Amino acid sequence: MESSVVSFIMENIILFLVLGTIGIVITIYLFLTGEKVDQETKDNLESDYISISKFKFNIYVLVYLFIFIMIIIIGVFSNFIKPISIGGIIALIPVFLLTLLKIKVNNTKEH
Amino acid sequence: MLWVDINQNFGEQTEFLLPFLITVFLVWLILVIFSYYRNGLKKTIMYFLPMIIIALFIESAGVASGRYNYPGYILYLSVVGGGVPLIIILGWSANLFLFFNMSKHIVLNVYQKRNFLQIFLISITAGVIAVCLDLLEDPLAHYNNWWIWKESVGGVKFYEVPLLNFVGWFFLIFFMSLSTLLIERSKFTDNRKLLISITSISITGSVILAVHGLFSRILQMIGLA
Repeated sequence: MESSVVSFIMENIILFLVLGTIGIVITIYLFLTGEKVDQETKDNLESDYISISKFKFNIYVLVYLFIFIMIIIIGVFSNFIKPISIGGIIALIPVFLLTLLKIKVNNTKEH
Repeated sequence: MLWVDINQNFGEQTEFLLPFLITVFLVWLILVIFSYYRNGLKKTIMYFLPMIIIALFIESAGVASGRYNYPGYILYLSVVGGGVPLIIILGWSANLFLFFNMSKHIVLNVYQKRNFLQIFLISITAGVIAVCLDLLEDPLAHYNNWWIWKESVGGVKFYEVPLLNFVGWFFLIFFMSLSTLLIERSKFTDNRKLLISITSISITGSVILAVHGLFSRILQMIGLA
């Protein structure tokens, strides 16, 4: 997506201009003519948890960990240990952060 | 303009492509089914379809520009000259849904006020999560030839993967999360939200390309790309 892609787009500029213009015009029309309705003002995050035996798991963390584990397994079989070790540590940061914040919020609620 | 190609030589030049494909497809399927039961059909289309379309254009342009290619997959789609595997496009839509929802869980634990700043924080965090996972995935993908970065692509690299790739991941997930959340939280009806999410692709796509192009120039000027 760097300069070569920009050059590529410049070579197909008419196509992109036509698509872009149609999209912008229709979006503006939809914005201006849209009927407004009352919306819920709170995110329901509890429904993102699924129960497995006694424990509740965040579905997104489970899916993320599934990807993580599969990549690690493939990496090990590919004999690509060092890069997946470094990448693995970085990839776990969001999970650790989410877990820590959840524990902190739960502790705050209990007190 | 749009063509579909079926490759007869599945897995050629690659290693462990099948487990990777199964992983991506399973993740996509689980998230689509979960979203359907949690959010309904219209919102599920709103979360997945725009990213599928935008990924098709961006990836197709990326392949056509000759920076990277995808050998050995089964089904390829192309809109602007470069063949992109269908599974990669589906993978992008799963990425977006996964990252901005994980990001919601992180941000809402520290900032509960429902305003634009919250949307902005969720989008930035989603972009950062995307880069964190890609730092694990992309070097392995290049190593096993799931996608191949051309050696002519210069600049700073992380295990043969150019820095600009990670910048691209960040901007794509950041702007698509921003766009999706803005539409999701608007007061329009679900039908209108769905329509806007599709038509606004041209605006989001233009912003992504412009910002990424500008950022690439800056990185090139300071010798990092």
